Amino acid sequence: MTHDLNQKPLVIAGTFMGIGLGGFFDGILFHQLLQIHNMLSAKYPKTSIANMEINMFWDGLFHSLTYTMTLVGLVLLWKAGARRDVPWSGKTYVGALFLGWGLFNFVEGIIDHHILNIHHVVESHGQSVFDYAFLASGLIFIIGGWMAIRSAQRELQPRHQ
Amino acid sequence: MRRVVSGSVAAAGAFLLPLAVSACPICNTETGRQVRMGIFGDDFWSTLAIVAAPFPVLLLVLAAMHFGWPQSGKRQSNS
Repeated sequence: MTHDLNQKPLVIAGTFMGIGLGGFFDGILFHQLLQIHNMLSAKYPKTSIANMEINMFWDGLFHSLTYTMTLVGLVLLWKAGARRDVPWSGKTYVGALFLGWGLFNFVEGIIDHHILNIHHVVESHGQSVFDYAFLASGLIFIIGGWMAIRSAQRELQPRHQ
Repeated sequence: MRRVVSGSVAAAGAFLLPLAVSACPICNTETGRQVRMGIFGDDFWSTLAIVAAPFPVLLLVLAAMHFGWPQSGKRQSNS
């Protein structure tokens, strides 16, 4: 009997979740713990309670969208899990998570830090080496995730019953 | 013990309530008014579009991954 092994559903689910979890990592580590990289900090510098609350609102809105991406990823992962033609590969899934995280960092960095300039990683420095490090982390995650997915593709096995 | 717990809760409430009121963006305080003006001003929709801007791009990338690689990731195997 011949099966088509299709890792794409797992890759798409993992990428959605990677984008969402990457957004949460960003929000928890940078916005909340380190209290930098807030959404509109270039427009509303955190010099007053009102400005901090405005930033907090838009941070929350942004994280609502990362939450939605995570939720979509979870639903897609559930659907992929029910398909026998989708190999259940940890390497594929972790690769896709990193691919998603990298995409998040790269796209968010390019658009928000470099095109729209609505905030920077460390606002007091303006556009700085931290913004470029953020982009570099995105590229490294994208390449690493993609390599893991490609490597897993060569090792795919049909699922056992 | 019960008195200590209820006293602590009351003290915490008394301490936190004014902070909650002054820090609440939907409350009727001067700070709340400034925050509402900052968020729901004339530029609300443009700011919303700006804040959400990365997501359509990310969805386009995902769509390209899904629809643009029809044969990628597929392999024949025998079982």
